[in-house]
Order: sequence, then C-alpha cells, then structure tokens
Amino acid sequence: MNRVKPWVAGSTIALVAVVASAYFITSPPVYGFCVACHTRDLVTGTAPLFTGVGLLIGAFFGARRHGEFRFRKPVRLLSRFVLGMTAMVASLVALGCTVRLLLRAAYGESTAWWAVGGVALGIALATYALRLYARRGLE
Amino acid sequence: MTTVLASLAVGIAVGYLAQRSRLCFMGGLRDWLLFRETSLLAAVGAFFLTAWVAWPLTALAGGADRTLPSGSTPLAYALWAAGAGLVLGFASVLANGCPLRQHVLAAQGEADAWGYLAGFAAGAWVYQMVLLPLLLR
Repeated sequence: MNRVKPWVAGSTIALVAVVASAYFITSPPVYGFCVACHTRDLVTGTAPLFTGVGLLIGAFFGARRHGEFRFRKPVRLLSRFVLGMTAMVASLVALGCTVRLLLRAAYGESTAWWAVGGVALGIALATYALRLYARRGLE
Repeated sequence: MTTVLASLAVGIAVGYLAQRSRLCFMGGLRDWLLFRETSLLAAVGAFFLTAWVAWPLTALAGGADRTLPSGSTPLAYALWAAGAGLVLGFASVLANGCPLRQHVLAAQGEADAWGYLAGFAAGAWVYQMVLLPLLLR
C-alpha cells in the first residue's frame, strides 16, 4: 500500500512547482511546472525542459516499487490520440495545462481565472453529458 | 544544464507523488459531481492554497520577480482563455484524466495513455508549426 493522501500530494506538488518557478526555471513567470508547455518546448526544440520525461520516470518508479505496473491492452488508441492532440492545443491557447492554470491563478493572474473557470465548466458539461449518455443506455 | 536537471528532478518528484496518490486535476470536480467524493477535489484545493501562500513567500525569500501584468484582462484574451479552458476540461473528462494523470497512466502500463501522449506531442507540433503561423499572419 503506502499510499500518499491526495491532499498531501497536491500540497507538496504546489510547493515543488512554486520553488522551481521562483529559483530554477525563471524566464517566463510561473514556468516551474507545466505538462503541456514544457512538452511543447521539448518537441519544438525551444528549451530543454524534460518535465514530461521526468513524470514518466517518477510514475514508473512508483508503480514498479509498489507492484502496480500492469500492461493494459489499447482499446481506444485513436480516440485518445485525438483527445491528446485537442488537450495540447487547448492548453497552449489557454497558456497552460490544468496544473499551470491553477498555479497562475494562485499567482494572481486574472486571465488564468477565466481559464480555470472554463476548465471547470468543461469538466461539468462533459461529466453530465457522459452521465446522460450512460443513462440512456447508448454506451 | 540547470534547466535540464531542474525540470527532470521536478518531473520525477511530481510523477512519483501523483502515482502514489492517483492525483488528477480533472478528477476532483468530476468525482464530486458524480459521487460527492471529495478526496481529489481536496487535493486540487490544497494545491491552490499552498501555491497561493508560497508565491509571496518565495518573493520575500529572493525568488524571481513577481510582476503581474498591470490592468485588467482585455475581454478578447479572457474569452480565448475561457474557451480554451472549456475545451481542455471537456477533452480531459473524455480521455479519463488531465495531462498529468495521462503521464502517470502511461507509466503504469496503460497503452491507451500512450496514444494520448503521442497525440499530445503531435498537438504541440501542429500548434507551433501550423496554427501559430496562421494566427500570427
């Protein structure tokens, strides 16, 4: 077991991200941690930000150490590809993935508040849409 | 070099914690709406509160300049941000996880998440090489 409580993890991750933005990756403000922007920088060769690679290593290590690594066959590979692409483009337009948007909102940037509101609305709409879909037995 | 090492270290730490806690920045609101389950929502709240407290503290402790864009957000920017956020939230629910969670799922062996990550990288390329030049034309 040895699970970490979600709120402890959330709090620690915020601390890591803020410290990284303040002392290590300082060039644009609030840039210590972003899943989308850092991947973009790596893919386009703008900056050597290996955050995404680190995420995979850290999560793989955690899963292996606690016997939670299990290969699951792909069932929705193509739709996930499209969704990943959509999420990336949307993140780049909003200037951050879900994590950096919250980080920017906490920093006090008013544009990020609009983006966070949009994310919340998007989550609510999709959740209710999926529930409606499931109730009608169409899935 | 600092950038490479710092980003790698931050990634590994966050990846490990996210794996151990099943953290997801989309799942909080979804689980609350569906099951009134609050543990992930509390994690998102804890993230926000900690960042909100830590920002001024790092500024006091000689961190990077904490300058905010002055004045209020122009309406066009705000609408673009809200619209893009809406698409991001919607896509995250359909894909069963925010971008962070997808990395964790991929590292746990879920092949569907590998497809997501491939699309993620492709999206970055498409945005930078195709959409951005069109927008800035």
